[in-house]
Amino acid sequence: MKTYQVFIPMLCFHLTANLIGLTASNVFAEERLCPDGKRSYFGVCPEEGNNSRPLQSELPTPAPKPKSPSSGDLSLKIIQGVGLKECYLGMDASFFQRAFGGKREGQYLIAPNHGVDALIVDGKISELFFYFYSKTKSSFAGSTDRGINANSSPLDVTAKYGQPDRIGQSVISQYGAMPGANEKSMEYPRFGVTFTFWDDKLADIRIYSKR
Amino acid sequence: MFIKGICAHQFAHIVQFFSGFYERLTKGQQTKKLLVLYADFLSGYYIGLRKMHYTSAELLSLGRSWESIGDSSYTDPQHHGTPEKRLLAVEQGYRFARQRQEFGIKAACEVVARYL
Repeated sequence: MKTYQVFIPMLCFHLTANLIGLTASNVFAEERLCPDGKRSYFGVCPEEGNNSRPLQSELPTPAPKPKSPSSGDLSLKIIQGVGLKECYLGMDASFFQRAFGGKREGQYLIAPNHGVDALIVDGKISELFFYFYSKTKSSFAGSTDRGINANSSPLDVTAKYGQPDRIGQSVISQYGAMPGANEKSMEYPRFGVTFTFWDDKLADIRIYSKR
Repeated sequence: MFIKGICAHQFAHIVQFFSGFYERLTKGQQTKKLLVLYADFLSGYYIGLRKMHYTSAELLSLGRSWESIGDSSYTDPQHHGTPEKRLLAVEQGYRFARQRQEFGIKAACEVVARYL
């Protein structure tokens, strides 16, 4: 094989890759470091005190006492496929920060004191996560517009939302937030909501666009 | 999520065996590292491609799990890649799926094979 037979296809790929923005530097960009100098995981830094694995005997722990958002008039009704009345999908990320404060962790805005996170894509709220049972976050003080709250069971969800489009069941690994717990996720993409239970206790509600 | 990732990883090995990538990634190599990192990238790609809604804690857990399966036996023919490299590969696959949605699986396969 002549040199040009190898060189020309390589040059073509190189130029095409540059044209579409596929370069080694952006495909295999180095992951950012956390403020403590440690490596992040998918852009998320391990929270202080959450680096060691929790002991089985520590689990489960009751959810911390709910705290209300700082703005007293904020609606706490979670609407499927939408979010909250004042902080909904598609809004600028600044609305989330105004309502809940929070800090940036990779693509997420995290407000552990209010038990709510947001996934931010292109500066807009793409998904919302409301936590009800966590070792590191306060429990969200609200409920869904159909009445699902921290005390609800999977049966309550089925009664209010019908049969899920998909059910996922697994045991949380030693690296997860609640090691050893039985996780059950009830997904309703037709409504834009997923309910996750840990040992039949509501762990979180995820709000996203309906499909 | 870790189990889904492992299943995707094994499936990526099947893709390698039935395509030209197996030969490309093993030619002149002393270890299986490139084959494994390639499969890690496609695992991350699959996880990112699924229209699932992951919390930051779940991504953190996946990253830690993936890191834990790396090894440092550099000269062992069975070397699968260091924890850092394995984590980086799965993260980049995830990022590629989420940020470059205009490209399909074929582009992902080619990109990772060229840049490993």
